[in-house]
Order: sequence, then C-alpha cells, then structure tokens
Amino acid sequence: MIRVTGLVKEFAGGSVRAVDEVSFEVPTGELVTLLGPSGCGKTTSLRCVAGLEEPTYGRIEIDDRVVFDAARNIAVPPNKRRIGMVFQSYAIWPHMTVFGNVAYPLRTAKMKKREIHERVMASLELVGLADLAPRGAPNLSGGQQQRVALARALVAEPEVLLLDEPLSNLDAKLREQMRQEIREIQQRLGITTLYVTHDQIEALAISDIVGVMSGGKIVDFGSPERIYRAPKSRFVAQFIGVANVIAVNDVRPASENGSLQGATQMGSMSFHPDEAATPTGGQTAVLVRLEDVEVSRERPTADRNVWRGRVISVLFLGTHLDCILDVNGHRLRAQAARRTKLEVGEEVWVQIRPDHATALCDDVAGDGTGARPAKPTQTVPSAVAGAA
Amino acid sequence: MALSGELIEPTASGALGLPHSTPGRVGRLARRLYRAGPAAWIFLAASLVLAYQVLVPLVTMIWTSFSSSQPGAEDFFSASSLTTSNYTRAFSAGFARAAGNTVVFTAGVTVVSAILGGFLAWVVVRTNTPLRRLITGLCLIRLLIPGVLPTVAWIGLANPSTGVLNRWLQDWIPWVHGPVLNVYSLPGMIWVESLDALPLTFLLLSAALRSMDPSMEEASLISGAGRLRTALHITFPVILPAILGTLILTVIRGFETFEVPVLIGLPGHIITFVVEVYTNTTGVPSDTGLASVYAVLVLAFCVCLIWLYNRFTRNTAMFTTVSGKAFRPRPANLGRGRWVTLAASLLILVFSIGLPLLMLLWASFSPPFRPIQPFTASGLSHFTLANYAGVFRNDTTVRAFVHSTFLAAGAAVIVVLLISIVAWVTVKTKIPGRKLLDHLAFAPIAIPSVLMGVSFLWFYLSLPVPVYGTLWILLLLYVARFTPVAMRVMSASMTQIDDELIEASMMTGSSWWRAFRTVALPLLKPGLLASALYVGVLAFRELSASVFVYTGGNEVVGVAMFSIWGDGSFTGLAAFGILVLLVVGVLSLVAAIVSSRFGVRK
Repeated sequence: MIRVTGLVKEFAGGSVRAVDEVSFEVPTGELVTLLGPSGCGKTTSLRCVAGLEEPTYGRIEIDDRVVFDAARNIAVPPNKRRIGMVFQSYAIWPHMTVFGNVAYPLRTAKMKKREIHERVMASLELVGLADLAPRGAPNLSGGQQQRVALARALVAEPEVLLLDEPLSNLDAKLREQMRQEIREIQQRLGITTLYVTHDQIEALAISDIVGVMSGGKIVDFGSPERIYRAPKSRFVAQFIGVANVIAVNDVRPASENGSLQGATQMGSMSFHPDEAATPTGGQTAVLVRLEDVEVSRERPTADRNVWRGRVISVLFLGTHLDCILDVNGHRLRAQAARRTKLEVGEEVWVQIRPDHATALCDDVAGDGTGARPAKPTQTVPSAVAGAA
Repeated sequence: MALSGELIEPTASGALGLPHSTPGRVGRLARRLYRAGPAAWIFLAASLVLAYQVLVPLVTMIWTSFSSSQPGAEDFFSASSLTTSNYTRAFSAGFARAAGNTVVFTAGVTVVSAILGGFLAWVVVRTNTPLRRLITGLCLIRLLIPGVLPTVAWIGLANPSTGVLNRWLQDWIPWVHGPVLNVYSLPGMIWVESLDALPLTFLLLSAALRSMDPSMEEASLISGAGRLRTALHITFPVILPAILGTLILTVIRGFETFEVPVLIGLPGHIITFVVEVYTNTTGVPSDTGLASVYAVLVLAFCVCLIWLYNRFTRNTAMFTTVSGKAFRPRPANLGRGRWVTLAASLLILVFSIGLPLLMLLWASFSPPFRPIQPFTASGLSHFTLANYAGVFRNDTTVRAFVHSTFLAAGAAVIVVLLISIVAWVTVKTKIPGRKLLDHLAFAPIAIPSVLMGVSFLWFYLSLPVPVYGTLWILLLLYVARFTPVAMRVMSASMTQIDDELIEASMMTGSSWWRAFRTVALPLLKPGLLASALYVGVLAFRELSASVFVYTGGNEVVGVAMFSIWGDGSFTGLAAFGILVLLVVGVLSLVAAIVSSRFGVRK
C-alpha cells in the first residue's frame, strides 16, 4: 500500500508548484496509474514517492511505514525505501552485463553468491530474458532493455514497484505487447504498483485505478471504466478518448428516473446527470462518446433523442467509419458500422440513448462548441507527447 | 597551445576523423564524376587545394628527415641524398634526455590539468555551488588569451631572482630566506602549462559529465546503494571512456605545445622534443636533419594518440546507450560545503587568470628595463605609460598589428570560401568520394601547429616559387591551419540542413543551385559568420607556426610578442600583450554577439 497525503512540491523557491496538494492511495496488490499531459506533475509525484525528489509538504507512507513526513521531519533516503523502479530511459548500466545489472541490488544487499545467481535467473526468467544473462548491456534492443530494467526492479522483491513512463521509448507494436506483459507480471506477483504515463489508452488498459492529473492536481480518480464513461470534467473527458461535447440550455428534470432534459442546437435532448451533482443555472454541457452516436437509414423506434442529420464527411478506418454529421446545424462526430456504407450528402437518422449522454457538471458555461472544441485543451489521443 | 583554441565546442563523440580512402572502380568513378558536371570540377579543385595545402608539406617534412641535404639546396630532391643518418644521429645525441623531459612534462600536465579541470567540471555540472556561470565564463575567456602572455606572466611571478611571488613569500613569512619558487623547472613548466590546458579539460570533462543520464545514478540509489557505492560502481565507470578521451587530447596538447617549453624550458635547460625542433630549425647554423626527425616523432606520436582517441570515443558513443542528448543532472546540494567549493574554484581561477593578468597589467605600467616591484603602493607611484608609448613608436609592433589584421581578415575570407565549397559538396551532392573531401578538410586538426610551421618552411624553401620571405606564406599557412578549425565550428550548422529542405525547394521547381542559394546558404550563414570571426581571432594571435616561417619585415603579432620577450623587455611585452588582448577581446565579443544574434540554433 502506498498512501500519499497532502503532497506539495515547489520548485524555484516556491514560485512553481509542480505538485499541488495531491492525496491518493494505492491499495495493496493493485496498480494505480497517474495519467496526464506533460508538466502536470505526475512524474514529480512518482519521484517523491521514490525519494528522488524531496516534497515541500505532505506525507508519504509505504506499507504503514512513514517514509516521508514534512511535519515530523522524516525523510527516508531512496536506498532505504525498499522499492523497485523502472525509469523512462531504462537506465541500464552500460558497463555491466545483463546479469550484472539485475544482480546489482542483491550485491548491494550483500547476499550470498548462490542465492544471487538463483534469484537473478528467476527474475530474468520472469521477463523472458534468461538466455541473455551474459550479454553486455549496450547490445540490447529497446524492448530487451525494458525487460532488464523490469527484472532489476523486481529482483529484490520490493514492497512496491514504480514505473515512470516505461513504454514511451518503444514503438507501437512492442508497446502493446509490453503493456500486457507488465500487467501480467504485476498481477502474478500481486505487487503494489504506481505507474505514470501520458498515454490514456495505456492507462485504461493496464490499471485498476486511474488518477488523472492536471496542473499539479488530481482532477479525477477512479476505475478506468468509470473515468471513460462518466469523466468528472470536460478536461478529463477530452483527455481520455474523443468525445462530442454538446451545449445544453434550459435544463429541467425530465419525467422519469432522475434524468434531465434541455434544449440543444440539434433539438430537445434527454441526458443523465453527473454522479456527483446536478447542473445548475439552467445550462450545462453533455458528453457523448463517438461510439454512442447511432447512425441508421431507418427511423429508430425510440421517441426521444432522435434527429435527422446529413453526412458531411466519412473516413474509412478499417474497424469502423468515422463520420461528421450535420444535425440541424450542429456538427456531431460519430462512429458508424463499417457495413452501413454511408455516403457524403446522404440524409440519415441519428440517435443518442439518454443513458449514454452524461452532463459535465463543471461546465456551467456550457459553450459546447462541437465535437472538438479548442479549449481548454485540444487533445487528440495520439497527439499527447512528452513526459510530465 | 594549439589544441586549446580549436576545440571550442567539445563533444563526447569523436570528431577527429582521419582520412580513409575508399577503393573504387576507376572507370565507373570517372563516369560518375563526368556526369556530375561542373560540380565535379569544383570538387576536384577543392580536393587538390586541400591535399596540396596539408599533405605536400608533411611529405616534405618526412623527406627532410631522410635527407642528408637541406631544403632549398640543389641536391635536396635527388634520391642520392637519402639516408637514415639523421635518425641514428638523433637517437645517439640527447635523445633520452629530451624523451624523458617530454614524457614527464606531458604526463604532469595531463594529471594536474585533469584534476583541476575535473574539479571545476564537477563543481559546475554536479553541485549547487554559487557563481557557476562565472566559473564557466572565466574558463572560456582563458581560452582566448594567447599562450605567450600567461607564460611570461608566470615567469614574472615565479622566477627565482626577481619573481614577485618569491619576494612576497620572503617578505611575509619569517622563516623563508631566498627564493622558494622556481618556474625554470619541470614542476614549474607543468604548473604553467596545466593552467593553460585547464579550460580545455574543463570543457571536455563537463561535457562528459553532462552526457550521462542521471537516472543511471538514481537507479543505483533505488537499488539500495548509497552515494559512495553509486559513485564508485556506476558514475565513474560510465563516464570513464569520456575521461580517457579527454586525457588523450590533453596528452597530445602537452606533447605539441610550444610556448612553455621554448620560453621556460629552453632557458631552464629542460629540453623537450618541441624545443629540439625549434632550436635545430631556427638556430644558426640550422640542423634540418635533426629537427625533422624530432618533428616526425611528434607527428607519429600524435597520429597514434588520435587513433586511440577515436577508438575510445567510438566506444563512448556505444556506451551512451539511450540517446546522445545532453542531460540536465540534478545538482547535489552541498549545504555549507558549497562555499568551500566556491573558494577552491575561485582560487584555481585566480592562478589561471587573475594573477597572470594582474602581473601583465602591473608590468605594463612599470618603468621599463628595471626589476618589477611587487604589488605595493610604492610600486604604484612609479607607474608610467612609457611602455604603451613604446608599442606605438616601435616600427615592428605597429607593422605586426597591420600584418596580423590583414592576415586574419584574409585567412577568414579564404577559409570560409573553402569550407562553403566543402559543405556544398559533402552535404548536398552525391559525387563519389565526397566524404574524402570532408576528411581532407578536417584531418589536419590533428597536426600540431609547430609541425605545420616547419613543414611549410621546408616545403617553400625547396620550391622555386618566391613565397618564402613574403606575407603570402603566412596566409597559406593560416588557411591550412584553420580550415579544420572552421570545419569544426561549421559542422553543427551543416548537419542541421536536412536533405529534404533542399529537395522541398527543388520540388517547387527551382534549380539545384537556386535551392542551395535560397535555402542552404541562409541556414549556413550564422555558422559561416561565426567560423570567419573565430578564424580571425585565432589567426590574429597565432605564434607557434608563424614563428618558423616569418622573416624580418614580415612580423605578425604573435611573433612580435615573442621577439620583444627575446629583447628582454618584459614591460614592453606586457603593454603590447594588453593591447592584443583588447583587440582579441573585442573580436570575440563581436563573434559572440553575432552568433547569438543570428542564432547558431541547437
């Protein structure tokens, strides 16, 4: 278990707050990911947990042992925290063999030679590199270096594992494969893990819990499924996946099961309130994922949230069609089934089920300018680059 | 002192490439050359010029070492004069002594400057010591000071009879009687030369420290190792290749340096290889046979070391596993200790820059041809401007200023023209063998300037063309000497011009030449400008090659300084030196402003 309470890290004499009052917990045996754009403070938070960075305020506990507490002036140095860590650059020592790299933590702990050998080989076995043990470290591919780094982090059986953007230097195919392997190993060992990445797909795929960070704060914290379906804010909605954000005016309760109703440019629309709060002030913005916009040629049987629209553009993406529709002057982005064979200029029916439309309660202004508004951040999934 | 100036942008990766020819099928090569059209002719001409400039004089030098005759004599080029007697003569007379002195001197300089430079590099890169930028800045400024000046300043400070420091020690410490410091000794030479080599080792070692990924050390901390274990098992082994590369460059520099061995070693009867080359060439009667043997030995040694250097740095490239980018290591917080490191750094810089400059300034205002007073108020009362007046009254110094200005400007223009052609051919054409041109322009960086000087002397002495005895030989020499230096400054701008930039321009319908003119040249301009100014600065103060080929009436600034010293006028030299420093300083300032203004982009 890792518990971080009120963590603050200031740079440049207090003029920059890289981490601003962050609190979260990584339950024992689970994998928590800190996700955010570069500069959001996620890596700094991780480095504070590792002890490589000294926080300005706050408290950090690892398995009920306080490793840092600003109030009580406790700061356990990194080499005494019993953690394993994988760095973004892997930090494989070039003057050692693969075996030497992995054995280093055990040799530091003055373990017996035979035991070192056994545990290093077991660890290399775990990452599938046992036959490369005698090889010099510089002669490894990116993926192999990554595995060595993982083996080295795990060999001393640490209480927690920290991973700092471990996949960002790999190419796309390998990234997917390593993602699965890391998750598999983490679950097999049941090791408490804190993971940092800027890649939202990676975060959704690998985590038990995702914490989305922005401007040094955690702005959303929950299961991947919940964060994707019902993000806490427009920022989170747009950082994770692509979505339509639709402005709604004149919001009032709908007739049944707590849903709401309001006026949009497309016409009257029913939607669900956010889990936390009901929008106030009569206007809000509603989030609709692309795959939740249903496009068809026949008129759907439902009587609510059904509109006529015209196809403006269609892109064939293999698994589906990515199209933009004009619905009463509102540009709506949608994913249509490959077999619908939509054509530009065609008139179609559009349906959004009320429980697939969620109000973003932080967006009181509700200027929902369309599928991809320019503010606060224009974020296409693959365009997020760089480290925090 | 030759290597000090030219490696202004040291990198961990090896750049001192030696030429290696690629065997090609002659017929096909000729056909491809023919098809390349006018570019091929320019390529051929540039190659011939570069080869002529460097290789021919060196071959002459080696020939001289096997000749029983002298360059310029009638039978010099006849095969009948060939002999190995020069070598047997050299190895029997005083060789062991010269070799011993050279080795001790070089080793001493390498060790001392590596320790001092390594300390400064560590302070600047890895600690939170205050005033780190000032330390770096002072080291860069030190690079620009012509080596003669600190050398004579240290003679003024620490000579046994009138040295200012010696008299200080005697006045202030009661149990000291008689001189303590003697600059005319091997330790004295090592000390003075180490301070001169210091900026170079500092720059190279700080580059090495920056090239290491700090997470290598962090990974060790996370693995449970403490600071000491991390330093011993991770930091030191990882940057070891870069350290060895730096040490090799320092060894080369110590081996070929001119000022300290000739100005201190020669009067102190400490003879090194370079002194042998110098005395046997310029002494009367000269012994070109012996001089050339020592020159060939120096050359062979330098070539071997450059080969070693390339090997080490190639390994370094392999060693920097993930990326070659410069990292920003997290500086260690030294707490109160940072005032200690600051004091130590400043002390080193006082010895390296402060004291020598103070000595020069003081001497330049002191009454001429009298022992220099220690730095006291009574000495201050004798201040005079006579030395400065003397500089402007003296025909030689005025002439030297004019000559050096002309030569600096001329060399800068020609060098920049040459390297533009080389850049054009190697970067932007597909002419076979274009890499060779690159190497030809760059390889001479490994040739000590003393050897450039003697080889030019002997070559043009034996040539029936009236170049020797004019300024033109100096111009030719400077062009040969500084082309590789400019190449080094240029290389950054050259690589930034991606092929696709040119191709994009050509796809819009412009001709190849138009593409080069409108896209490549503007991008190259800051680099070219910076190279021109840099070559100008170096040429203006050149000594160790010029001293061999100048003749009476053709003095240049470096030689004038040297000969004023020879006349025994320390105060005159000091005044002249201060004026030269002002010119060099202004030129460098302009260079710095130009390159920051036009952005040598990173």
